[in-house]
Order: sequence, then structure tokens, then C-alpha cells
Amino acid sequence: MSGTAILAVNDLHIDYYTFEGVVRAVRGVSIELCRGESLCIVGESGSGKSTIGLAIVRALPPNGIVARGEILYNNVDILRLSEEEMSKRIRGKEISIVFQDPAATFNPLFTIGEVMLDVIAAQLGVRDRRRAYEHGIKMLKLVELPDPERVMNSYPHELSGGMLQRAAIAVALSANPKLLIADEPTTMLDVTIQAQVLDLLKRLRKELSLSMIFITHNLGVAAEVCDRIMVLYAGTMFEEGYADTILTNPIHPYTRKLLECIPRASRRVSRLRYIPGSLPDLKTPVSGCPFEPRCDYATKICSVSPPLVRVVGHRHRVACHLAQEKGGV
Amino acid sequence: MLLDILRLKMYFPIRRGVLGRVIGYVKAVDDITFSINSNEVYSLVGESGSGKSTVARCILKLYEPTEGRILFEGRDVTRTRGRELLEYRKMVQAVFQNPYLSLNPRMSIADIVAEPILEHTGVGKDEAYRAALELLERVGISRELARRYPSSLSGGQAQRVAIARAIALKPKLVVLDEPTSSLDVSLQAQILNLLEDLYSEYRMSYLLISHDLSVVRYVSDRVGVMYLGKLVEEGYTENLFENPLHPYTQALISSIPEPDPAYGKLNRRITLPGEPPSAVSPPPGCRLNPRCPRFMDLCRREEPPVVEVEKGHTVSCWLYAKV
Repeated sequence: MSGTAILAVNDLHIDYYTFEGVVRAVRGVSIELCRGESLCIVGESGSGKSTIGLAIVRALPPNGIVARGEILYNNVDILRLSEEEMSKRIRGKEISIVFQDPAATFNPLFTIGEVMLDVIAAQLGVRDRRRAYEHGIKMLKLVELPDPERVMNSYPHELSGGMLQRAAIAVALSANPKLLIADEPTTMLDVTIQAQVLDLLKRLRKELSLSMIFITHNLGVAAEVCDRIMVLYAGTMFEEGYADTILTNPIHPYTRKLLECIPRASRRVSRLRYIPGSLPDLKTPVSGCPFEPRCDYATKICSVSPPLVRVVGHRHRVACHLAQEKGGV
Repeated sequence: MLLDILRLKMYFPIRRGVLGRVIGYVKAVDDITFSINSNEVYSLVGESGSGKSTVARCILKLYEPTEGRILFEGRDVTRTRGRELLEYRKMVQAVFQNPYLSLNPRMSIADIVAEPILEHTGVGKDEAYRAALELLERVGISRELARRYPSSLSGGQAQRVAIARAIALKPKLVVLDEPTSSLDVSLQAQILNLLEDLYSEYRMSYLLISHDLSVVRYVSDRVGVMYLGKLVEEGYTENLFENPLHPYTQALISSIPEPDPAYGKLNRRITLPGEPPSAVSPPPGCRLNPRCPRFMDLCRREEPPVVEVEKGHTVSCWLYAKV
């Protein structure tokens, strides 16, 4: 691991215990995030991308168990920290998270200001209400909310989705964290508002030198905000590399297929490609590659043994049995 | 023309107090005119609150429009009731965004698709079920699955069932209201391809309601862009995407994130400041004027006229009007 990594996730396995059985949601994912870098975790529903995000802030639901692996934040395994240490030292102050639905971030019975002042008091220890209020206003200005005094006194239902998401970002950043996890932060927003929020996140990243993990199902959004992209499928990392490489020269058959599925507004294609079949059931163990039943290139080995992660280029990793033969370096 | 929408208005009253006094209106759709040809895919695009779904609901006769007329094959159906309405419903069907909400959870898949056939055509039970199973097979649902209930279907499968039900009566127009918005991209591609195949097989027309311009570009012949209850631009798909005229359309198209690094570098994004104002008290003049990057004084004073800039490509903006 290089010294500049702010976050290193090694061989993470996460299981959900349900009445129907154990769901193996994340199956051995490793992440290396350098300081100031932004990584997008891309995948379809059920790929495990949000689960990883929740695990990094240690906010998995009670039935979600980290079965194996470590999450090193500045070389400290946060999975070994006590809950008290986690909330005192890490959550909010070092690592913060923004969710898809900003309305769920806020309590409908409290104003934005009440929530903000609580967070500022708890995380920064600012007891003086006047000073906390001023800090809150500063944060709302930082996320370009017009009329911050009015926003402070507003209840969540009085703000639009876009404004509420800005407020949620302001709350998440109010204790000056170094790493921001953004879980589908623009999915519920209209495209023109999405464009505004993406611009905001890009600006904040630069100004505050934030490192960022951005979770999305939209490769277009990933292209927009991220240095690097990791493609996840059924809890398994399939491919990871610089955004340009993944988008223009992907090696994994799934990444290629996924890119072909997407209709483009910039040009018209005569027929969309699609991936036949459906996602595997995460409760049944797979012996080989989880994509094998849907893959055009599948060979005998693919159903027998899981593919190892191979380095195929500069910071470009692929988990596919055929990677070397097909892609090369 | 298959369908003509003439100066359609849909205002929802806002009531207050015990007497339910009307204190204002939400002008969800405010004076919209457009037509859909037979065997054509027409799309209405716009963001939340633009009124696109309200237009769809007026056409489906789920709302009674405040003003304006709806002509179907030249006949006025705006206030149609009774038998005539039943006839209209046979020819105009719908597929909605969330298939789990639009399929009855207490009916089996086969029942769901057979019901409209039994209800509207007077064929026997055996024949209706035979037709239903055939339709289901056509959309990719096996006989095995047809015996099950909607809860045991995946999102993509449920949407296929909703599509089978919609085409069961061989309608002339199918209203597709965000049909793929809740699906993952790989499934979305399957459903879009299916819709495209059915369209040519059955020679229907589609009215697609969508906020996703990439999907719209892929499937439509013509596109209408809505903003705050108004149709601001309309044209053939290629013209509209290659040469968007209205500042709102330009912003909308340039806001779409594309999974292509080269595109991001070439394409200059036009961002609109702020957010759409409320449809209760829309701004005077052009509705985009408080956010428009090319605002002129005239825009605040008067509503822009509809101008035809090239054949079939109309825009409602003062920049193109000869004053």
C-alpha cells in the first residue's frame, strides 16, 4: 500500500442475515483511494455498492455483518474501533456521508438549522449557539444556497429536492471531513439540478481538498465527477481503473456490455445492446465467475473457479479469466 | 392525425379553509397544442413539475381538462362518457413507471392480461386465455410464470406484463409514462428494444413521457419539450437534438452526463441558475425568463409566440420571433 492512500479496503466481505438466508452482498472487494482522489463505485441494483459505502462509515444495518477484511483509514483499521471512538473521532470529522434521498437525512419535525446546530455542537464541540449558528450559515453559503438565514429556519418539506441535497452536503461537511462518501446524491434530482449539484461537488472537492467515494449506477455521472471508476457486479469487483480507461477501453466483458446498453443523447444508435438474463441470486454461493451465465465469452474455467484480480495496466485491475488474452496491457 | 391536442389547459384548484374556498390554481398544463400521427413515437420531455404526466393523464381521460380539446381520429373525445369512452379506452392504453403498482397483486399474470380481452371483446374464456398466453410469450414471459402473481416477478418482468396487457386490445395509441425509469440500464435496454419491436409489429403510436433524454433520442420520431406547463419547443428528434433552439432545451441537452470522456471535453455545458418556479404563480411573459441566460427585457413583458424555424421545428422564444 502506498503511503499516500487515505483509505485502503482489503478483501472486504459483507453478509446480510435474512429469513430467506444469508445474502453475500460484498465478496472480497479491495479499494485503494489516494488523498484528494475521487473514486466512483458503479454497479446495478444489488451489486453491493451502497453496502460498501455504509461499511466505511460503520453504519450497516444490524443484520449486516462484516465477515472478513479490513478498512484502513490513514492506516487505522476502523473496523476495530469501538463505536464510541468511531463517533467521536471518525464519523463526520474524518469520514462523512451523503445519501440519495435528502429528505431522509433530515428529520421532518426539525428545521435545517436545528439539525445543523446539533451536528456542529456534537462534532465540533461548539457550545456557543451564536458561533454555531454563524458556522452553519457559512456552510450553507459554501454550498451556494441562496438566502441561508431562511434555509436555517425552514423545515425539510419547505425546500426543493435540489436545495435539500445542498443542505445535506452542508451538514455532512460541517465538521470538515477529509473523506466524503456520496451515495447516489443526484439520482433523485432533475438533470439540470443534477448538473448544478455535480458542479458543486467538483468545486468543493478542489477547494476543501476532499477525497471522495461516489456511488452511482449512472456511468455518465461517473464520467463527470471521478478520477477513477470501479465496476461492481454481484458484490464482486470486476474492473477498476482511471475513468478514461474504463469508459473508452474497458476490458471486462461486463463493463463493455454495460457501456453498450446505455442510450446516448449525443448520438443515435440503431439498436441497443442488452445483457440477456438477470443478476444472480446473492444467497446461493457461486463457484466460478458470477457473470458466467450471462457472458458471451464464458469458457469452462469460468464456471469452475472465480477469476483472480489481474493488473492489466497502470492502476488498471480486471477480474476476468480472459483478461490477459483479450485485453493485454 | 391520430391524436390532436388543442389548446389544452389543466388547472388544479387550491382550496383553503372549511368552506373549501378556491384561493388559486396550479397551472399544471397551460395552453398546449400538439398532434401525434399514426405509427409515430412522440415524446414529451421535461423535468418534474413541467406538466408532462398531466398531459398524459388528460389523454388517458383520468383528468377532465379545464379547457381545450382532445381529438382522436378527428372525433372530439374531450367530454366522452359511457359507451363511447369504453370504445376510446380500447384504442388508448397505458404503461406506467411502477409496474408493481399498476398490476393487481391479487390476480395471476394470466388473469391480468386476459381481463381486458374478456371485458372488451366478448370472446370466450378459453380463447381469451389462449390469446393472453400468446401475448405473454411474445413479451418474453413463459407459461410457467403466467400462473404466478406479480409479487414473484422482477421489475423487468413485471414491466413486460404491463406491456402485454396494454397491447392486448391492439390499441392505436399507447401512453408510456416513464416506462423504464425504475429499471437498471441492462433491463432498460431490453424493454426499449421490446417496445420498438412491438411498435412496428402492431403499427401503433406511442406517446412517451420521459425525463431521460437519452431514452427519448433513442426511440422517438418527434419530441416536444415542456417547461412549467408550456410546450417550449417541438421538432423531429434529430433536428431537436442536433440543433436545439430554445435556451431551456439547450440547457437540458447539455446537462446530460455522458459516459464518454471526449464528449465532456467538447461539449460546453449551459447551466441554468436556480430552480423552476412554482406553477401556482408562474413568472409573467416567458416562463423561463428569471433563469434564462439570454434574457431580454421583452421576455418579462410578453409571452413569446410560437415560431416555425425549420420544417416541423417550432420554438416559443423571442430570440426567434421577428419583432
